[in-house]
Amino acid sequence: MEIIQVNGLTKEYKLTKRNLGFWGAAKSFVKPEYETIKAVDNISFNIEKGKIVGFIGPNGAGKSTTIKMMVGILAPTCGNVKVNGFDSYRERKKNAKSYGLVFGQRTQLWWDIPIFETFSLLKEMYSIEDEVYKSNLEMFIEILNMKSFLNKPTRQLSLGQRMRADLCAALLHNPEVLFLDEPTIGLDISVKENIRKFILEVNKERNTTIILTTHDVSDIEQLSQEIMVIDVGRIIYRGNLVSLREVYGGKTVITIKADESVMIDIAYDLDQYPLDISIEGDLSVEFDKNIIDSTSILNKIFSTHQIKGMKIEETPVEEIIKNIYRHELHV
Amino acid sequence: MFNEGEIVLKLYVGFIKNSVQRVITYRTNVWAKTLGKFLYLYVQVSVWIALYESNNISQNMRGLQQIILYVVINNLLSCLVEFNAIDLLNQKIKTGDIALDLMKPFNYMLYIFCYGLGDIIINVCFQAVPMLLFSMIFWGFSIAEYSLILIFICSAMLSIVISFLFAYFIGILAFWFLVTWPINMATRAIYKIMSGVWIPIWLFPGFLKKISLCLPFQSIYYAPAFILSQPVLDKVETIRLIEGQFVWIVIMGGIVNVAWHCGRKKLVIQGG
Repeated sequence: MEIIQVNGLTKEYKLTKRNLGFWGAAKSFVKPEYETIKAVDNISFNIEKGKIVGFIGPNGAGKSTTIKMMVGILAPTCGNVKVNGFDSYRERKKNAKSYGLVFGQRTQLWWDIPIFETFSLLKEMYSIEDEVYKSNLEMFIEILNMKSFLNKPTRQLSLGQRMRADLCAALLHNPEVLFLDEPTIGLDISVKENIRKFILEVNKERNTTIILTTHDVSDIEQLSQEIMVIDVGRIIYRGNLVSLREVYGGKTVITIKADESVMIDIAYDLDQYPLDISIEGDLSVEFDKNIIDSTSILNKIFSTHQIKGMKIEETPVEEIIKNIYRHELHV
Repeated sequence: MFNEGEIVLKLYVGFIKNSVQRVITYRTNVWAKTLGKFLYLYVQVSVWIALYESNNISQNMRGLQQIILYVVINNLLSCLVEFNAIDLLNQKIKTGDIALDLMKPFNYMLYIFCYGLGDIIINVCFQAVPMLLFSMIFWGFSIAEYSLILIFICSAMLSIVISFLFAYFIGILAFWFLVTWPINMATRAIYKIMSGVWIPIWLFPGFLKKISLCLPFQSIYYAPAFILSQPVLDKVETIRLIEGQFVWIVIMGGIVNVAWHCGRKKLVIQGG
């Protein structure tokens, strides 16, 4: 079932052109000039229920704008988004009940009152049944380890605590879709790890569809079943990590430690294959996995040569994504 | 249907409770405000007394009495109708925090209203009630008819609504201008004069009276204040004032609605 349908979504901003210097500023003050910027440019996609989809893209690519239109906060210039069958902008209030949203950089908790009070207000806001509320709250307090700060107002919480409380707040009403806008930003490694585990568990136990944006590639590697790369307002790649590697990355590097004479022998043996060989202390063999099967190369090496050590590396996802951002690769 | 209404009511009562909690977190503010209000009331009353005495119209005690009552009522009203909705909305739109509210399933205007009511409840407890007692002891009042108190209360509630709608309107202009307190400052002077909060409208020259009729401000202060301070019951004027309040609620409500729907399309979430 497709829970999210995005059709021809476009968002344009009209910005005042700023001129430099005093006279420039004076000119803009008297007679402002405008320019139109397309933050999101005619995007269409569907997302199936129960999936975890990661949005990645450089700063200013249009990820957050897309998410904000998906939840109905921003009005699309063109196109529409349907979440669970509701038009997200026109039926904002109805739509709001079917999703939860966490912004890594803002909190939805009331600033000056204990977080527990925020939760009980959310109970009324989403008309959560007593039992559901109780069992959910107990569970989240347990898993997210929130007991110690339930009575503190938000402004006294550390970022990690706040993040956990925000996640709890977003999930109390059993939303069908959970949007996470940079959920691990600014958190230390152990908190990040816990939050990722929690997100996976929510997805597995409740079949919650999860859409997240992030700059942290490990978020993507550990969470997303599917990724969408967005740049200058367009989707430039959609698929899973494995195929991302196949399409863009495919370089594998085998590094071998051995006696120098052995290394030269190996290099000679492998010469028939289309690959790059270099000897700089160690022997390194770089090849494209899509063209050559790595097992045949390994067989060749092991069958006839005595080696001391070996390491196989694939191009890190981070590197691949960096390349996509640099527009070195095109779909 | 009834059940649903009950749940909705619970939510908005929850907003009010939270807002009260928020206000009393900052105790110093509450006391400082009380002190300020008392001083302001005292100064205003003293000015009117001085004015009457220096003009040798002290024999006209009825007039002075009415003015003092009028001033006191306006000061009490100011505890009820001064919403901080403008700053709040400016802040939310400027920082982009409005995004967090808009993702929730509630009526935004009612939410801001409840948020403001928190302030008002504290104002009533810590300022209006003490000021009322203080004034009754020191200046003493007589009211034309006790039934007027009831009409006054209704009229004051309408004032709260009009004042809120006005503040909400100025506040959401931030969709276009980001910051609107300068607009507020500019309208403030007109507001203060035309609402009759400083000088009763019955003392206005004819043309000013006409102008004030074209603005919503007299429905905020003058209407309830006149109703309670009138020396003898003026039925025609009382009914006209209440009618005027209803008309302004309809007009302001319409304007706010249009502004909200246009403004939402203009919204840009600042700061990512």
